[in-house]
Amino acid sequence: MLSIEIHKRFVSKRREVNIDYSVSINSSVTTALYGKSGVGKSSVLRMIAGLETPESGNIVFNDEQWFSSTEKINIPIAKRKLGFVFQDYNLFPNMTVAGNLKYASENGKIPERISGLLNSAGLASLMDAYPDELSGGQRQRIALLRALCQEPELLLLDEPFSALDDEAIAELIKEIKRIQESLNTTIIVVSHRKDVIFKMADYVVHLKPNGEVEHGKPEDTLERDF
Amino acid sequence: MDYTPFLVTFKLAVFTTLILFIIAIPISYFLAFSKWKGKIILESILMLPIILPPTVLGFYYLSYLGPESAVGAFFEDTFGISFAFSFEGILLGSVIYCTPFMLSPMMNGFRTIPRNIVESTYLLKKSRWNALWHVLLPNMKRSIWSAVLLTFAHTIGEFGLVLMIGGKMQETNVASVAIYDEMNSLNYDVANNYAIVLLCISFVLIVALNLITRNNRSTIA
Amino acid sequence: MKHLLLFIGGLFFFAACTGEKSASEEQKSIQIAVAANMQFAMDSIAILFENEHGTGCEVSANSSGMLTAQIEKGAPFDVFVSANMRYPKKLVESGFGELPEVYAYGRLAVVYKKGKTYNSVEEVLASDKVKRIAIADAKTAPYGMAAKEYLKNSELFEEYKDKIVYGESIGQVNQYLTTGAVDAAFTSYSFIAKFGDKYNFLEADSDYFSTIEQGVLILKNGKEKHPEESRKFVEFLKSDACKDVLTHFGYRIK
Repeated sequence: MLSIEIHKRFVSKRREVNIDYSVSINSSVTTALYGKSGVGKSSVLRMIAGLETPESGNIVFNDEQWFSSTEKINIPIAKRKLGFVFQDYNLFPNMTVAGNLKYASENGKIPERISGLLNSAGLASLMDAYPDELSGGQRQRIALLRALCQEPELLLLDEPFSALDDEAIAELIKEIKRIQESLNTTIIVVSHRKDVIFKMADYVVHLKPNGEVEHGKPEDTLERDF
Repeated sequence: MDYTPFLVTFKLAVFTTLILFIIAIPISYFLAFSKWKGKIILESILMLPIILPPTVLGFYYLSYLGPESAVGAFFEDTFGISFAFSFEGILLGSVIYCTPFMLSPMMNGFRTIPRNIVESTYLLKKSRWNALWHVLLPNMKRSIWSAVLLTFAHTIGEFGLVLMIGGKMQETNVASVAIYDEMNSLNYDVANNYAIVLLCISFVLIVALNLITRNNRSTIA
Repeated sequence: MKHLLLFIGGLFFFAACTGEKSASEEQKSIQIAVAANMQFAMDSIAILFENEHGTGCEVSANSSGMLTAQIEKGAPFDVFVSANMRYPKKLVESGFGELPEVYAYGRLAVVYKKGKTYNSVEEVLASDKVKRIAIADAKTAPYGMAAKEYLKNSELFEEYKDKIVYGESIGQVNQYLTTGAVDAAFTSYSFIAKFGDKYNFLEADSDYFSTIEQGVLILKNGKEKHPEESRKFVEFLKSDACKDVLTHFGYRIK
């Protein structure tokens, strides 16, 4: 269970962003973080990860206090058991797929479960390829697996579909579902695409510009207007 | 023909480049990633030698580091090292003068690496040192080569500063100064030989630099 | 990557080894700061000195003023062979040497390319074919001071000052002359001794400028590090063998 209550106000791209949300996210399910452009959903995700710091509030994951402004706690990224996937530029260009995975793993040994997932995804043949030899979709799926190499309990995905075409999106969704089933990870996905959310999320947290947060199943919280 | 000026020039270039390479990595890393507000001032000071006339640099160098200055005298009395009219002296002067040429491409190299890549290293729980060595530096090879070649080439081309700090001693007689000296001694043949060799070396370096900074698919920066 | 590091390591090692003088080599030579006009004579003197005493001479030539500035900034010369007595005396005052001695008297010549022949310095300056005439910078070169003095006292300076080009030292003046950058120049007689076949010259009347008393000085560094050799060199400079060389190069020994 991830519960956060965060406040932050800043200027981004000449727009003032006001983040003032209280959110609860269930474990072991896939939750989408949805909202209009500029509402601050990426920032929220980054604050959960520790890449950014809230001005005030707290973040608790599975009873662990990751951040508390009142108690002056701010656990560094390295100590938060999470994995993260960006929209692009995840994989390190100077290493092969195998290199990336080994680098991300403890002691340079890729966990068996990840190798297993790699195989079932049909990506094992790409082990010796460099990132620039892969398609966008392949890169994202490998990035996803790399994020799991340290066996985190929480997986954060920041607009992972934005740079992909429909076919690649479908593959990635399949991958996420496969991971959810076999590893039972808590997954949070930031996305602005309702159609994708409907296909892959168990729950949706809808952030609204006025600070309201709607939480529930996709069909309950989002209009099916695509 | 006496080739020692080329040996001195070569030695100066190699040592300057090596020293600057080692100290520029942490400094450029800091300047590229730190959020310290005073960064701009520090960066400007370090970049100053690009614009400053070498004679200004030479003047202040001799005044504050020369054997007759407080610092210079201390070093001479304690360690027997003189910062003027010696190889150590022109090496120090050269390091100061070429700092921007090593620092600037490296800083740019660090800054051009996509932020997501850098943040991925934090998220993978890697120490800064580990990330620097395994991810950052390998992904800015072009910038590193630029920095090294520029610094090396710039050292070879130094004249005014070396002349002021080093005089025309045997151990400070770099090729550029030697040409000047031979011309003033009316040994035009020798000067011509020196000049041609320097021209060729400079040309090779420029070609290398251009080849390396062309768009290369395997590196980002 | 590894090969690259090895290559660089090798370069580094190689660079470190070159250019290092062995200790014994260093002991066997002295560093002499020589006024530019004495450069040609010093070539011969250095060889003779080494043959007779076994000690080599590392010669660094420049204008006397610049050498003085370097010495005062700590340049490690042992002996200063100047073009005047003023700079050596200045060094004595600032504690860089003792007892300067005169070793020769300089002569000033006006030199121009063969072709037309002029009968007086004024003719040279006035000629249409002489567009630029070089003298050494009076601020740092004794021969430049002498040339300027000569021109002022013979009342030629004001009229022809637009034709005057200043060289850093006699060395640079000579360079301007031989590369054709200037058509004429005030230089030391030693130039003629070396290049007399290509140039004509006139002697500048010594009544119009202060005598060029060329002084030699053992420097503080020489006294501390190479006292024997430095003293021997100064003695040698005053010896008959050197007097012959100096006379050949146009200096006067009174």
